[in-house]
Amino acid sequence: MDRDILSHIPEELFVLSDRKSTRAEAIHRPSLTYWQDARIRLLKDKPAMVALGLICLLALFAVIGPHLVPFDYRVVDSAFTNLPYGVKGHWLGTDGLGRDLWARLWMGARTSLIIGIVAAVANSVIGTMVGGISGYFGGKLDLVLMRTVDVLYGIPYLIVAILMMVVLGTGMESLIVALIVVGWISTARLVRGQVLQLKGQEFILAARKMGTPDMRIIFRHMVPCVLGLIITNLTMTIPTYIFTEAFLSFIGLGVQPPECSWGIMCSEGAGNFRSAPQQLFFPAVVLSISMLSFNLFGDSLRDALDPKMR
Amino acid sequence: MLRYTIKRFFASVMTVWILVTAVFFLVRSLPGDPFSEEKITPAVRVNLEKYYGMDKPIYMQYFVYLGNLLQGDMGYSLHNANEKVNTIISKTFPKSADLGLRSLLIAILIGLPLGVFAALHRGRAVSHISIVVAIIGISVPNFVMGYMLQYFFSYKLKWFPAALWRGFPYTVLPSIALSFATMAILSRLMRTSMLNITNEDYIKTARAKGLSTFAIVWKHQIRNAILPIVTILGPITAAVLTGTFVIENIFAIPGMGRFYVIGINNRDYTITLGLTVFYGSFLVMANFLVDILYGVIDPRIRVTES
Repeated sequence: MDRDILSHIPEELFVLSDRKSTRAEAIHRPSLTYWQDARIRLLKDKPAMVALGLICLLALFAVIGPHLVPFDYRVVDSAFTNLPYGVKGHWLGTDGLGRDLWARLWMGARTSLIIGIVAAVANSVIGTMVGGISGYFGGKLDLVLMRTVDVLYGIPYLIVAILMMVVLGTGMESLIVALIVVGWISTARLVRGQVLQLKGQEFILAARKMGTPDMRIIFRHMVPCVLGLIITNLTMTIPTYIFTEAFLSFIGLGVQPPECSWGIMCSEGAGNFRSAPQQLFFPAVVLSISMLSFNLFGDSLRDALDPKMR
Repeated sequence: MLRYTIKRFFASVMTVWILVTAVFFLVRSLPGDPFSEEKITPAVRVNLEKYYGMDKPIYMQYFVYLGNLLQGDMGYSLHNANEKVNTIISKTFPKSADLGLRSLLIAILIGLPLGVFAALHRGRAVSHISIVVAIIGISVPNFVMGYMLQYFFSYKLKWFPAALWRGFPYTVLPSIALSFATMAILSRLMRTSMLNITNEDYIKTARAKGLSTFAIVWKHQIRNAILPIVTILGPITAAVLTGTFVIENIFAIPGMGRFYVIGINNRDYTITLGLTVFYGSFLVMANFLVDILYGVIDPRIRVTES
């Protein structure tokens, strides 16, 4: 059928193309480094930018929010308990003990964000060091480490976190320690896998031949190659930790009153959510929005930092 | 395959043993002990310690505990002296398993088709629904979900009872609340998995042969796309299990998760640690079975092993 069509086209319509003018070898795009390219793609990603905006907004309110109202988040006022929103200067109302919900909401944001970010960063640093050293040197050290990781990996992290909280006692510091104890493993696994792949490549071989110290090779030559993955992993663990904090506080193992977190607010609000559903609703919504934003941003970051997605 | 199974089995046993050891020594490193109460005089204390075997050196206690555990004995609750941890488990675990299986069923029956349709009709309404479910499942914590369902469907609309566990209507809300996270994971993975397969050569061949779309999707795409689902069965079991801790509390279901949380709040260490060991072993076993199952289903794993 195709040949029939071709045979109907008159011969003179066929013209030889000018090879020079097509410039097949020319470079059309400006040369971009990995990070420039990732940034451009991330800036074009609308959901990511909305998520990033929300994260910044949450962080901003975590800093200034409690100071916008003349109430302290810990002060109990038995005269004005369970106020609805917008009454007596309490923008979001008060909880069962008469504490201002707006102030508590943003103090809770402080706790949740600090726990999420500190634990995630600490895990990335520890995991990268362990994974990098273990993967690079190999041998017995690697074997012991990876057996440990295998064993720890078999136990779900929430169980270990609960156990750690029972042992360490409740509070924000113990929570961060518990999250670090369970969290570095997956980062270490990830980094080790990448380092093993990089180990055989020529630029590492060259660095070794030139007598570069081992630690310098790991942290100046290998880690930058893996940095994209590490950052993505970090962003994706933040919502997990925010959830873990809320979960543990909810079952009574996290942050303790009078300190405040979204998990505690949810569990306290749940107590009288028939008469005052807003006490559960506000922290629940903010908690969900923060987890959603970090997840969306992490997803986009992964796409932006993945060279295969170009 | 046999070597692989034995290797994995050995690793699983090791994991459980390390968990038990860690649990045992961690609880004994806690400040204070269960008998430091004013009511307990030194004489009573000596008797109590003898009764619970705490007068022996710690390594002896460890071997006794390990021996008892091997026979399936987890000791007594500290809070309720004549309640055995074993009795609690055998009484409450069936209810939790019931709840877990129901939620798993809902998640599979809705999540997998949602993922399949989202992959087949990209950019249409179905795919948006699947994205919304995934977003809710990932970003709304299960306890928030539980309370929202309870508020709207039992308090406002009065469609279902708000709490307890006494027959089918009671199971609906908790099972749905627990299923959301799993549903999200499943539909998301199923969608990616289906999309990955769309351009495979064997799908093109099937299309070129002139097979109907139904036959291609059902016989070739879904069958192959469902393989990766097996790999996340382990994490899914873990998610459902830890989900029961809060869902059972919200809906006042007398399951094991609720007892676990009560034990934690009463600082009842034998219960907390007994149930931790139970949960840990259960999940390690589940992971082991999933690994073996995957080896059976996917011959490539067996090939690389030998």
